[in-house]
Amino acid sequence: MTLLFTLFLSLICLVAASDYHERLELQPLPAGSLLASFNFRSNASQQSFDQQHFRYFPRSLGQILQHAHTKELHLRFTTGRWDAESWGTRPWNGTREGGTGVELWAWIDAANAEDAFAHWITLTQSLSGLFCASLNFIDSTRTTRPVATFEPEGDHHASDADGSLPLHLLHGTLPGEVVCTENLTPFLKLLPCKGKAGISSLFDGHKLFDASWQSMSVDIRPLCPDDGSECVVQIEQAVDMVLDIDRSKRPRDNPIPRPVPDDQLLCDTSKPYHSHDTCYPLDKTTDKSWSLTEVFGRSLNGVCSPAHDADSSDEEEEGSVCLHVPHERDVFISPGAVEKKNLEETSRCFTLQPSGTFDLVLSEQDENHHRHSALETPVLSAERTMIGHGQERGGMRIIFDNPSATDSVDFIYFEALPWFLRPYLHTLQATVTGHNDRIPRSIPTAQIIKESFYRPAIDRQRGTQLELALSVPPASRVTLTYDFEKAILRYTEYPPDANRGFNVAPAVIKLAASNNHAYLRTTSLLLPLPTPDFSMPYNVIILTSTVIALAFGSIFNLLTRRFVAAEQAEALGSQTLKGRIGKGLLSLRDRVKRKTKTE
Amino acid sequence: MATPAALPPLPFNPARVRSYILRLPLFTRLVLLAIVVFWLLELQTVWAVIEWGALTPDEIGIQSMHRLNTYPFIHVGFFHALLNTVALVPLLERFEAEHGTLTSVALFMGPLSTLPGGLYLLVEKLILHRNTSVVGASVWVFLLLGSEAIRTYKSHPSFSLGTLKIPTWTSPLFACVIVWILVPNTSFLGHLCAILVGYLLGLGYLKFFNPPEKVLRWVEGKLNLLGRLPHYVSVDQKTYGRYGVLPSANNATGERGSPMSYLGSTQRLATLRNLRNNPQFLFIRLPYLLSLLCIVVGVVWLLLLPLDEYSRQTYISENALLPGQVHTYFAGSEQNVFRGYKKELEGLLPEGEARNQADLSPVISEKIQSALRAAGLKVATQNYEYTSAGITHQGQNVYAIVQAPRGDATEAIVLVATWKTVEEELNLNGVSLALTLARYFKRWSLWSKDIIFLITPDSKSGTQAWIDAYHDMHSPSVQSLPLKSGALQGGIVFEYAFDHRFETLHIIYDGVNGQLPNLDLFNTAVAIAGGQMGIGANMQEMWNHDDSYEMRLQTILRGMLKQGFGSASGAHSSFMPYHIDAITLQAKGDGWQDEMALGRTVESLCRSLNNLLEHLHQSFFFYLLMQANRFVSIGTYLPSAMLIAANFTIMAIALWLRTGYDMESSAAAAAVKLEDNKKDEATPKDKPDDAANNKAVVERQLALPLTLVVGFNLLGLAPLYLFNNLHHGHFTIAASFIALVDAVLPLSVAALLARGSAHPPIRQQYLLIKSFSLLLLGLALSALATLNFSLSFMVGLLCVPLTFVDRISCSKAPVRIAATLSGLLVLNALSPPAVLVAGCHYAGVSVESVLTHAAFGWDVWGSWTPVVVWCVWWPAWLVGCVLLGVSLF
Amino acid sequence: MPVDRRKTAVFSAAVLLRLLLFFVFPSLPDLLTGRVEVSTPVNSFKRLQEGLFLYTRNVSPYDGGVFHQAPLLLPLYALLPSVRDYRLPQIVFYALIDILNADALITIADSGQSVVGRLHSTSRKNIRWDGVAIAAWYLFNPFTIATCLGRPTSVLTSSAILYAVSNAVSGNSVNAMLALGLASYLSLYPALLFLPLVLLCYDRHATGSKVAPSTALFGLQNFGVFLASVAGLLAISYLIIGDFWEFVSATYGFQLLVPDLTPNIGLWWYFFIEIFDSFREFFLGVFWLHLAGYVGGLTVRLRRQPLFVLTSLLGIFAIFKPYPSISDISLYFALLPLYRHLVPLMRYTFFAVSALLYATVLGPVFHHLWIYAGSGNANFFYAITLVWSLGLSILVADSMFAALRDEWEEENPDMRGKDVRQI
Repeated sequence: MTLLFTLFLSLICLVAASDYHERLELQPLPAGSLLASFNFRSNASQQSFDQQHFRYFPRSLGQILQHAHTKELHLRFTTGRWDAESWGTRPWNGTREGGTGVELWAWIDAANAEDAFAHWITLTQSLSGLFCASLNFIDSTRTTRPVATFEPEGDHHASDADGSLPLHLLHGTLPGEVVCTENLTPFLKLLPCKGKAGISSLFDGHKLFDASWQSMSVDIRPLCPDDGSECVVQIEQAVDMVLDIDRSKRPRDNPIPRPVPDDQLLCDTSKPYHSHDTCYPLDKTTDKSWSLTEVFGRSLNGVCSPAHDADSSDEEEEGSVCLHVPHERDVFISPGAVEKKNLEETSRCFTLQPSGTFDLVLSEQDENHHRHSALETPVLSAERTMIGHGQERGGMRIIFDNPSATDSVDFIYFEALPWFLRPYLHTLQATVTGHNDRIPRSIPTAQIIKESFYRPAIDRQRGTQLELALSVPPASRVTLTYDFEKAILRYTEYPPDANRGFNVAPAVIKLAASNNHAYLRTTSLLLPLPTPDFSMPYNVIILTSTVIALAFGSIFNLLTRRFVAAEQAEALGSQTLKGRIGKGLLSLRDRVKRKTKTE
Repeated sequence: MATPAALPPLPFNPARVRSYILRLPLFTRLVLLAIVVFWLLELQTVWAVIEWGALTPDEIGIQSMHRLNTYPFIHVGFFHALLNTVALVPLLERFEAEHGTLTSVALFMGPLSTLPGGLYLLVEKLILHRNTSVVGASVWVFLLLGSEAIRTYKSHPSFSLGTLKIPTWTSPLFACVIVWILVPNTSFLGHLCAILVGYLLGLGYLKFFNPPEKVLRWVEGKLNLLGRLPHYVSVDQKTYGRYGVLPSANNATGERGSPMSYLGSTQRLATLRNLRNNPQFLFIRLPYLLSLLCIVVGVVWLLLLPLDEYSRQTYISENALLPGQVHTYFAGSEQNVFRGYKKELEGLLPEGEARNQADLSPVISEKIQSALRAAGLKVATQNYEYTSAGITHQGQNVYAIVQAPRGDATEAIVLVATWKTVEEELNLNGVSLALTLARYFKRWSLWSKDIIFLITPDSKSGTQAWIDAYHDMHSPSVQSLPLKSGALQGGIVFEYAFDHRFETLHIIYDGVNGQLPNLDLFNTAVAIAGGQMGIGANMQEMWNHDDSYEMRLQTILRGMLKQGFGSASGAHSSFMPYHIDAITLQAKGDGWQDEMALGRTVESLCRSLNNLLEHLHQSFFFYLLMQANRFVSIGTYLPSAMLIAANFTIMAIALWLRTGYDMESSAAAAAVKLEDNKKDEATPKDKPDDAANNKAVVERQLALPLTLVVGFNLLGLAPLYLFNNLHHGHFTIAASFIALVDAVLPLSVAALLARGSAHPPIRQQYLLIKSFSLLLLGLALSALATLNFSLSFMVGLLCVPLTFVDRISCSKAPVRIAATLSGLLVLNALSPPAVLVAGCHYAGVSVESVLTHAAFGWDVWGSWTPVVVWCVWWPAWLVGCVLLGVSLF
Repeated sequence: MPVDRRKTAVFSAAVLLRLLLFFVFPSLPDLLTGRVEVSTPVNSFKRLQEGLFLYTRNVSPYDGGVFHQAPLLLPLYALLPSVRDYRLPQIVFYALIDILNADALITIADSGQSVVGRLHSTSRKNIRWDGVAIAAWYLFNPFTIATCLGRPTSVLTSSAILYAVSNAVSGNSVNAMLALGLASYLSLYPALLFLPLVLLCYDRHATGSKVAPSTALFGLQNFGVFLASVAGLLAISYLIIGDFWEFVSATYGFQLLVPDLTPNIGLWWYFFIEIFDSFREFFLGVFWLHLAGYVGGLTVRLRRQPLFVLTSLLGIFAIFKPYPSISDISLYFALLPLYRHLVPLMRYTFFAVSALLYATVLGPVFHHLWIYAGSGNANFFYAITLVWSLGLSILVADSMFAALRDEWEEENPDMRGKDVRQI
């Protein structure tokens, strides 16, 4: 799948050729799923951008960027998890996806960190308005300043030349955010054709958010070509999703996966006991047939070419819809579209008619005599889980697995933890398990960790930031563990669903440059915290104060009184106010007694 | 220390209060009446009383002078009125009692309301230029307080804080400040004015306002007020009052008196004070009665629980669960698939009798894995091995994860199908059902949590190994999990151990150490099985439960027995210690429900758990179920165990007090004093009191009792270690050995105590030994009751005799020895090993198997029932036997 | 010398017991370190390790929410071998500290200040235990043992306090002030002990010298010493940690403002979890005032027995500190046996003791129910902390009653054994 990536690099290279590109890559994956990655790209020249003179570049976004002094922006909406085991490496090598929920990082130019943070806040506020996401919850505790994990994609060399302000990288995540259609609509609004024409017309909320994995990204970067022509500001929007073909072929009106009728049940008829009512299910060995309209629920109508000037030339040389299936598999396309197979790769692209709908149909085909364009196993697989139980303390366990038998993997591991999770870094331990002998050996962390950057959390002010430069030896699995403590919060600091637990953002892993900047992210975690009883602030205040008052009262009572013998106490007692009140009342009683006697 | 005696007795005596109210003098009554009337008037809306009567600086004109007299009667709201009245009445009543009604009228209608008012007006209007209107009788309260303070000052100029002395006349100022701080929007200024006037009054500068005596007499004489008006206080009655000391006063205070005496008052229960004069009853009989009462009440309490008045209908308090609200689709051709899987697995089983004993062989495990893999799940295995009592349990767990389509592994549900059921039968249907369900669930896209299918070789150790490894708390002999998911929200185990159709679902819910799953989970299961699927649900093997009292009680008792043993009752039990709620569904009986019905139940349960937003926390975690839809919550049943535990504590306290008072022990103490000089100095303190009253405080000899009790408790570790590390072959011998020790050890220790040392322990020390041992027992049992109610209750009942056994000090040797021996026999019949053997005989199981089970529970499940038996029950029992045995020598 | 033999016997037995526990249950120290009853945010051994880890890697340990202990501890513990590799040295170190404390206790006890002071001498002089017995009480108190194995740093504070007292009773007031300075530097609250301590020094001084020096002058001198010692320690820590305000706010600011609400046996944590945000500062002030308020009253009223004031104050602090732990209790229980002669005068010991026993047993149980079993909620543990504090305050107040009564009987001996009342 690196071909997608190289392609994307090439696209970056030939910027400024055109102002708007869109492209759809379709690749069937094993187990009856389909990877569809949409890519929209348009750019505006730097000075037109500065003059707020936008053509394809969305004005709303442009103004926000200028207002927040943001030079480069990356925004990600992701749901689900990428199943590397059966789907292979990630699209774009993971550079176009984020952790579960929303992830945002940007390069902001400001005089100092404080200004940068102020700009950052304005940025998140306005973006949350634009994308209907609760980005405004990215406060100081959720913001980090990664040192080595992220690098600018654009060219910022101009910025320090003319002595302008330095750039600050800020990074924030919302692991709990649920991505859904209300985020898709503004996303489409940013496109020139607003989802009316071109491949973006395939977007249907129901299908998109029924995908097994799906990620939307917005990237804005300044690009300055080497030939010295003027810089451009490029916006790139990408949507990648993995559709379960069976699931998305179900009709909208009847999405329930009812048991299939007996006759459609495909059974292993070779079994001796096979009969009309007994059936050992056969695992499907065929790629089932599908078509664009079936899978996306819509048909692709026309081409989105807002620029009717002639420079939409390169769309001829490579079409806007590409399909990655072996050439021997036959594909039927609607008339008018031109198919172009490229020989070295097992892919073909289609150039669409400017108007009219486009559809393509893959026939059902036996899977056996072609494996998919062989899935490349990912360079590294990472898993992060919590260990231990109880709401007092726990442990984090991160497992890195390096499948390659020959060469070790160098990468940077970055995690941002909320402040109420207090890691104890001195308990960080590493164990290595060879693939051939499954014996875990504990080793000094220095062997694994080349260098580390650690910024401990401060309660209610900032979260923990941990960046480790690691290197995993070949054919082995490295396990890092450390203990942490779970803080108990003030009762106003708990969310309404306090007993669900708190989300911990996924860790980001950046593979070293040798594997051309591949990224991968672990799943997010659920951290259960101890909860107070939310129903009884008053009782607590009263009870505690009572105990304190008892102690205080009894002690000072002792200190302020003096001893007398019991018999003297009588006489003295009559002088105190209390004694007298009591006595007065007694006298009253006796008086009345006498009265009643007389009557 | 604020002792009860320091408080005036009146507020505690309703009768006196009533008579006091009834005897309020006239003017006080009038004032009260006025206040109430004005308060009632405020309730109507036509006429704004407060605007009319309040003391508002700007409103004061020549025609609104009435305000100066009305404002004390008017209050804002009920509580203002109430508080002021309560504060005012005693003061006013005494004022009137002293000065007579007429004077009071004259003063309070005149200067005593106008002066503070005027003062307030001056300051407020002319100096502060504000306009805060004031109302309320609090002005009189402070006025009277002020005068009171002056009087007090005359008699009793200052109270001393350490060395520095604070003049008493400042007290109303303090009161004023405190009221100002505590009570919102009170007028500090107004009260201050009142206090000033009060000082003037107290210092007697306002005497000239009093109407002259003869005028009063004349008026009284003319109008014969005394005759006409009830409760009128005449001028002549004034002589009564402050300093007239009434004859009753002394003994009144006398009977309140003398709580502070320290002699013999060490650790005295305030409530027992009145019984002081009869220590014989107080310290010897009463405790036995109380303890007996506690025990009886505790047992009766338990017997009452099944009644409708004390038990409750179950209900679902976690609204997210929505049991049975979804339609279940697990039917139709899925059944063919189920049969397919079943036949496939059957093919791998040995023929004939061996079929039902077949273990989960590697071949079958492979088949299961391949089936799950074909269904598109992520599959992994885990090997484990435990060794306990010389027996090795090992096996391989197979588990697979249905990943939530759009979730990321944060939460998960576990479905467990054990290859062998709790009764060690082959759970073929269950396993095949698990495979079918896995394949079926994979098609759905609505799961918000991962679903883990776990197939364990047995019901005892498999889940334990898996869940331990899931939290990385496993022993080295257990493999760690290669594949994991998020936080587990709930677990369901299902068993279907026969081939014919089933009738009802039997739900097992007890966990290790008596921990229970959240009641909501159980209720959901019952609601789905009964309400949605039309399958009956039973529990505790109560197959035909007619809603009668006996049945309910029987169910409760069975539940308590199971809970009390604290061992795992099924594969689900291992989840409990990790705060994961889980239950086992067993298909039982012969009816017309087929495996698909069980499958649909599980599906519906999964959907309910899938709805959960938070971890189950709403409903009860401590309960006793008496029927599928009736339960008792902890608040209702805990007292019964607590009472049983309390009886030991009561006895311990009583014994301690008794050692403080003991008649003979004072002599003994005197004897002891000669021995050690440390106590020697107690004598000058004690001697005169011994003469005076024989309730002497004697120094307690703590050393021997403490060592004895602590030593016995430590001794408990020996059998604990023994029974958890022996080979299971030796258990029977070990048990009989312990029984022997029980017979011999106490007597030898008793002999040692009585005869061994030069000067044998005095009576007091025996009492102390018992006191400490019972204190520990009560402590442990009451703490245990909150963890494992049933265990605490059972041990408590078995220990009941220990409260009553004591050294028999009867002069006639034969009687004493006979009594002692019989007592020892009874005790030995209730010793831990004896009870164990008897229980095994009753249940018809071998002692060895039970002990092996216990050892397994200790090693694998971490159940601490053995600790309770050997370190709580046994030591207390030994001490009891020793005390009894001493009387032999 | 028989006494010395007893002493050595007791000490060696104590050390052996600790080592035995360590070797028989190797996991016990870490278990205890994790208990909330032993470790609080301001004395936790684990947090200290974390601070040490950061310190040795040149990351400022105070630029984070974990480490809040005095800076001088860092180089001190950096000298010990790392706990990762060997844990025995740590245990030995703490056992030795216990032994030192016991030694100081013996000095205090044998000075007899508790029974016969300058202005006061009880009529029950000879109902008392000798130093070794008291040391044994201290060394074999389960709380002390648990503290020793749990290795909180508050043990150092305790020994500093004990040394201040032992120096005071043996007359060298300068050392006493220095030790108190160290204690208050380590954990702030001992500064409140200055007043009674200086009085104790003064009494000792006055009995020693023919002509009694002026109290004010004496106090000022000692106050100077005290300030000097604190300032000196702060200066050294400033040299260790570059940023002054950073560590001051992270240590003393932390203790004053109580931002970390980890459960402990005290009363503050749940109160400040549940209090409404707008009142938090107010109640912080109130609680601290309440804590400081006892010093004046006790010192004035019990002027004649400053050592008893010290003891009671330690008890009160152990109840009402923001982050109390059982090490504070063990310190109080160490000094309490000095007043053996008051026991006959006390009225509620049995109830106080059984309340403490119940709290000690039920506390861990309820904590388990809340945190691990999940079947109970926070109120369970909170209730137990209430009982615990109540039992302790009964004990403190009762001993105070006994002391006052003792003073009173000294004034008028004819009243011995009569019923008395307080007005």
